[in-house]
Amino acid sequence: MLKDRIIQNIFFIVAAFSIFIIFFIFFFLFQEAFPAFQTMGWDIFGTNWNVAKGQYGIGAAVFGTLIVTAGAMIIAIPLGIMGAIFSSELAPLKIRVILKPLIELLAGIPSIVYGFIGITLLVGYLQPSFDMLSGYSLLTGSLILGVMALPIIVSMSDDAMKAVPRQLKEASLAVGATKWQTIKKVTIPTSISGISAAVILGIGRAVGETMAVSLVLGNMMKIPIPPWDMFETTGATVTSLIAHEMGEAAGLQINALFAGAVILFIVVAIMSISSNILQERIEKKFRGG
Amino acid sequence: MMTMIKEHNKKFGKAIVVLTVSIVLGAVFLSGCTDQETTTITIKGSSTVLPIAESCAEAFNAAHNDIKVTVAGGGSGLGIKSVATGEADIGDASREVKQSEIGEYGDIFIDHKVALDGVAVIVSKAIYDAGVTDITMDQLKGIYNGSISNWQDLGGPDEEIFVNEREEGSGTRDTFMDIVDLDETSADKANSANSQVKQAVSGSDVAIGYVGLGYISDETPALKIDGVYPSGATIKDESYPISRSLHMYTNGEPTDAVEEFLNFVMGSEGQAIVEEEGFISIL
Repeated sequence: MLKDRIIQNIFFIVAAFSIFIIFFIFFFLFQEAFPAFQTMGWDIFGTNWNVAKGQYGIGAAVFGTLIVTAGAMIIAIPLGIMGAIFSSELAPLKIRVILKPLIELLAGIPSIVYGFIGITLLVGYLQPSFDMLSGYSLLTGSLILGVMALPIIVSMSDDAMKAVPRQLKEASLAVGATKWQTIKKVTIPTSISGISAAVILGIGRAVGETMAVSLVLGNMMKIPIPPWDMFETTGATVTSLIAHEMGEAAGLQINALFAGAVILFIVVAIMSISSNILQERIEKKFRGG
Repeated sequence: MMTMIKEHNKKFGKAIVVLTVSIVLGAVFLSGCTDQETTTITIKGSSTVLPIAESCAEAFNAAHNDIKVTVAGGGSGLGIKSVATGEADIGDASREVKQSEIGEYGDIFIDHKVALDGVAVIVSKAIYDAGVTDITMDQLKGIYNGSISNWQDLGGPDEEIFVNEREEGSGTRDTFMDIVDLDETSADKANSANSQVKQAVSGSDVAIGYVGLGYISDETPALKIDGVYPSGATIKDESYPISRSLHMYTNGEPTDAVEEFLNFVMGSEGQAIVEEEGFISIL
């Protein structure tokens, strides 16, 4: 029917439009970042960021992103997976019904709210607790990002574990394995690709998060000495660098900030695609078997 | 059942047609509304000058039907670039035009000073109460280049100094670095707004930072520099060292409409707005 085809085409155009936007953003980012890569060469990954001297090395911010994300994952991965085991395998139905929506609600809290809580509570609490120069630090950023990545990891790992066929678990229990042995030897190994997808997506969130993190960091473009000293009031992430300096940036500085955006874009895209591939793998495994 | 779906499709199709037509008509109608008679003045530039430009534009637009002033931020660098390339009629800057910019665009800039601004050095209340109420320019330089790192050197408690600065590209930072004579700093925290500096300093017992005059408070008291307290009077008579003029640049002599606006800003009405926004009048 003609009408059906018209409507189909309209929907196709709408769908194509969103793909077009992605490509547009992609090309725009590269185009704007290109002068920075061209002028700075490999120095763009160096650690000298000094606008007055025309040095735009974003290395310190890339390092900051890495270490803050790593810190966040040290918190979020064990807590997230344990939470998921509880909610999918151990919790009584009554608790399970309340637990999952509440955890997912945590993911819906706007990041500025996390940042606000961080700056009013955490910053003031951490400074005297660890005798730090100030409460603004990579550690503070890690703590907040860890909490923010938690709901994604819990919720997606929970889905993955629930997707493990009941027959598998029951077979394990039937041959005399305890509940814990079943979780350890059957549930987790079978759902490992789904759990990995959850972790990767959690990392993606941590890497791309801006607002909360830029509020609680020192935002100096320096690598702490020694580099793993997360208590020092220094260090920025790529996102906080962009958020901080785009307002007053001019000339090559803008291009260098776009170079940071390109790096973020690539990292997050890789994370998101590999998470998708892992999830498809788990679905295929159970559909096929 | 089939007819129901058909009905549904029909309604849906109609809705889309109506929506499309109304969007197109709306667009045509809106674009037809632009009055060709008005002269538009575009202002771009420094975020420090932005509140002055915005409030003045608002008051000016209310009094003029034939001239419409629009204001955007973007930073001093962008303001100067925009006025040089003709993208803007007025370029706001919280610093003077650099030699490099004159080299790039030619000696085309005409400076209109619209206000004065001071940069105050604030410290945590605990430090102020411990007796650090005065600082010399040399000590200030020492703190920001890292050669002084303990409050003891300034007669304060035996505590490390938590040094706050503004982000790279900030006009306030440019002014501070320029007058205190620093190339780079060994500060601990970069803040992207005056309010962030104030928050970091008031939340600490060992902090120092620099902000616009409007951000001095009981919790973030200002230090005297070389014996002079930052105020409207000391900045006007140039006895307070860290001060600057705020500029509106034009590309060559301003047109009549632009000149009318600049006269408004520099006149008594505009300067009252300048004071209201927390800056110091040039009058």
